[in-house]
Amino acid sequence: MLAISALVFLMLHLAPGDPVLTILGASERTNLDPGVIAQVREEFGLDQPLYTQYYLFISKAIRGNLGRSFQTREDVLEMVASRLPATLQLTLASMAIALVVALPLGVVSAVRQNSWVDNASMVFAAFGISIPRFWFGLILILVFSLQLGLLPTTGIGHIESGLWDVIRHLILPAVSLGLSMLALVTRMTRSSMLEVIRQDYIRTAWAKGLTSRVVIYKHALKNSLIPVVTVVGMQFGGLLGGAVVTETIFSWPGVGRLAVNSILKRDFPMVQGTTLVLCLTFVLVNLAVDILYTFLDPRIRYD
Amino acid sequence: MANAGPTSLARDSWRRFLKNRAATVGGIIVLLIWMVAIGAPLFAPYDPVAHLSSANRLKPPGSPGYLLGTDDFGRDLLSRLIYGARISLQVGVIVVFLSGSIGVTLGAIAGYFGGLMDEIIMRSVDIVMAFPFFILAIAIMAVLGPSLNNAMLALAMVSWVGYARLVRGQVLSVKQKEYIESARAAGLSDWLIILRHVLPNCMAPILIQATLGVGGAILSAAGLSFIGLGAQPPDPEWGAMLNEGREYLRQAPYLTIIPGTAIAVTVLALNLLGDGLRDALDPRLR
Repeated sequence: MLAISALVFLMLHLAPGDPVLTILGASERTNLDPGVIAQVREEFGLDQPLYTQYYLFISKAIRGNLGRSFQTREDVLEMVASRLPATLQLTLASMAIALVVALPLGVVSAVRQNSWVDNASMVFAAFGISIPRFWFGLILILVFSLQLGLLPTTGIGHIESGLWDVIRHLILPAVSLGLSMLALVTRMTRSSMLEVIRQDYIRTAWAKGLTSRVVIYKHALKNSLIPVVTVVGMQFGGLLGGAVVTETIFSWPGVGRLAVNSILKRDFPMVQGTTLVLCLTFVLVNLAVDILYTFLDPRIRYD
Repeated sequence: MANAGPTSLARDSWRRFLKNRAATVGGIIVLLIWMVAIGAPLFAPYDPVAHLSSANRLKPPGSPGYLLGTDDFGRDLLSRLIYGARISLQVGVIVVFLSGSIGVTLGAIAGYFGGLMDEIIMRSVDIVMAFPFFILAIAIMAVLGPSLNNAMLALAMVSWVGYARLVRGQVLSVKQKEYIESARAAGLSDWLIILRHVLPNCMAPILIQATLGVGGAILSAAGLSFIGLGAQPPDPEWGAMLNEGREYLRQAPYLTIIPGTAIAVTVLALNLLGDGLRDALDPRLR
């Protein structure tokens, strides 16, 4: 995280253009009072050398202070934290939809290799990987909101209005965001299962007369899950990245939309804050994946 | 073992590729899109950026003279789609070329020389990979500013790591081979060995990754353009066209459906081609 923070900090502070102009909402320096410029520089610590700025930034960041927005002067961490639950709600729902569909589909494809189910799910997976998420989101809006009027076009549901309000607002963005993960996990589950079901211990399990349910779900699937979990962990980064676009389409009040708006307004502290929080989330998910490995395969130990 | 030469290997791979129907279809579609992109001025009936007239606004597909209809500025959608193919393929190829050049060079250096260089390069790879791909790309866009060229640069800056990892792994295995030892014994310099003997023997996985990478780059660039960070109006880039069209989703859904279908078909064809090349060039990876 230290390396990530340093890279993001350096990138944004070496960007061309004077941040003071952005803060003051001006396009040229000539119209500005030098006294005001100096005051703003001091206020945002921009008068310090770069290494001091980074030191101050990181020492404040550790204490939960990511600075203030150039645009609104609001606290960056507060802004990002208020929007993080919406992004997590969206990404976790997408992941849940992807896994609930992809795992059984991958298993059935492997067990019935070369059947119509297998062929259909592989065609579906090929499309799922190739279709742009944002376009799929728009098509979902077109069909389910504008044509059929079944689900809302944009916005987030509120629990005060009932659980159904939350779910019906979540369905379209979560499905559109989860499509490519669904496709990749289906492919990975299928290929991993195909490898495992050819192993001797699976043949032994069949020979012992165990039911197909026990052989496939208890013996084969559990041993196929490690590469699947790896893909899920890596794809979570894809979900966070995809959320940036999906949140824009569905006017979802998450961190991704905040990041895009901050970039377009060149609000660097906010860009820095959103990037760091999304990266931290990604790092934590991958840590969780590493821990999950030890549950799936007790031979894996981290010393 | 008269047939064991490189020519027969290529012929075997080609035969395996042709047997794969999905890959052949993918290859043909990619070829057709390339031809359309190259011959865009010949195929496009109108100028893709010139506004025709307000009377021609939002004409639906099948209107006389406008096969795919017109957009909100009265511009012919077919012409924009054709020129968009040129932009999207250019983006895909340039991003893959840039990221491939950086990644292959650094991966080869890391794998061949090892030691401190390897440590520095691979730790840099780890740092870049700790970022979600698209998040890092948009963070770089924040620095560079919105434009298609900057989008390509940002995507290249985040996707080189895949090539570096791949090539390093390949080089580590190839450099142990006897023919590399004999090249060294013959007094060839390290760079010459890398260029003449190591990299040509790593080409198959690089080629596969590059083919799949073109599709990925087209998708990512379209995503950046869609949120306003990539191609800027009036450029007929497919993602930017989708962004413009979404305002008319109810009124003129074809402005969304058609460019999106173009992206999906192109990326699907490239993915099928890439998968086919993988199966043909290295059947063990199937």
